[in-house]
Amino acid sequence: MLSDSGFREVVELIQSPDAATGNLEGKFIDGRTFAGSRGGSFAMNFPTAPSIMPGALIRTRKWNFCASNFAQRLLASRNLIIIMR
Amino acid sequence: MNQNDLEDVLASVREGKIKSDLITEAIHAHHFLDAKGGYRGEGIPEAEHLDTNPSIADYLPVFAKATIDNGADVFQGTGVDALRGIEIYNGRPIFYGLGEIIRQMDTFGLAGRADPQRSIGPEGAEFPVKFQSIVAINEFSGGELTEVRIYPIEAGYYEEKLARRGIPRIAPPDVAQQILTRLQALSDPLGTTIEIQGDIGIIRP
Repeated sequence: MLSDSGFREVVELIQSPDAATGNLEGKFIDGRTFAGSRGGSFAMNFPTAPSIMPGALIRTRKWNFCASNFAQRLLASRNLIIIMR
Repeated sequence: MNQNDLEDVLASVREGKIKSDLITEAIHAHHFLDAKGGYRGEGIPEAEHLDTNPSIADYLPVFAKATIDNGADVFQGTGVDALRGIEIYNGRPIFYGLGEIIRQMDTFGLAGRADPQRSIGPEGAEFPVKFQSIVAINEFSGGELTEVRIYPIEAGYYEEKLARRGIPRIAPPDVAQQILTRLQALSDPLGTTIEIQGDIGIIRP
């Protein structure tokens, strides 16, 4: 997916500041050039965040509204996420 | 708001502030102030689709400002599928709704059920607004917010192939102007002035 110049511009934009935060409940389905998520519900797989933000630190807190519907293992990847480079 | 939960959150914010140079508080919530229906895109009639309702639930400003009073440097609201206004409170930005930067839900479907109609409203009405979001870069100097730069994002609503939809890209100029002027209108009642420079929005507190 990073071969998509438009998407790469966004990734570079996200990587440009000292710190970035985001809600990674979305899914990426391309598995060739980008370690996006695969199946499941409102959750992005853990490898996805470091793909966007190399060296990212992911911290999680309480579950939220949507997450209550899904498995515990997914909670960590879809709650408050702080990514710091 | 549950006051016990609020106190828990605020205590966490205070603790986080002690341990960090900068702390953000995020909420994922789908609540609204009214039920007038959602904004779906320029020139498209509003409809009963609350996912894109831009109104701000009454508790949200109270909660957001409380977190800032307790040390949060940025407040980010997620959950609602469309942008909401931005407020600057005590020199800290509150993003009441950031929209969805990634939107491959329609490609993938909930729980693996591909459903390309999820973003298509009654009678085929379109929902391009769900594919419009922003990346906001908040510049701090000496611990004080000096500038917010808003980069409009468009996630390929007009792509014919579902495989190409939902991937975030820098919005083309016409869509960028739509996003920024709408954000201006949503933020103005909150006392926030967004200056449009080219295809970027600038807030200077």
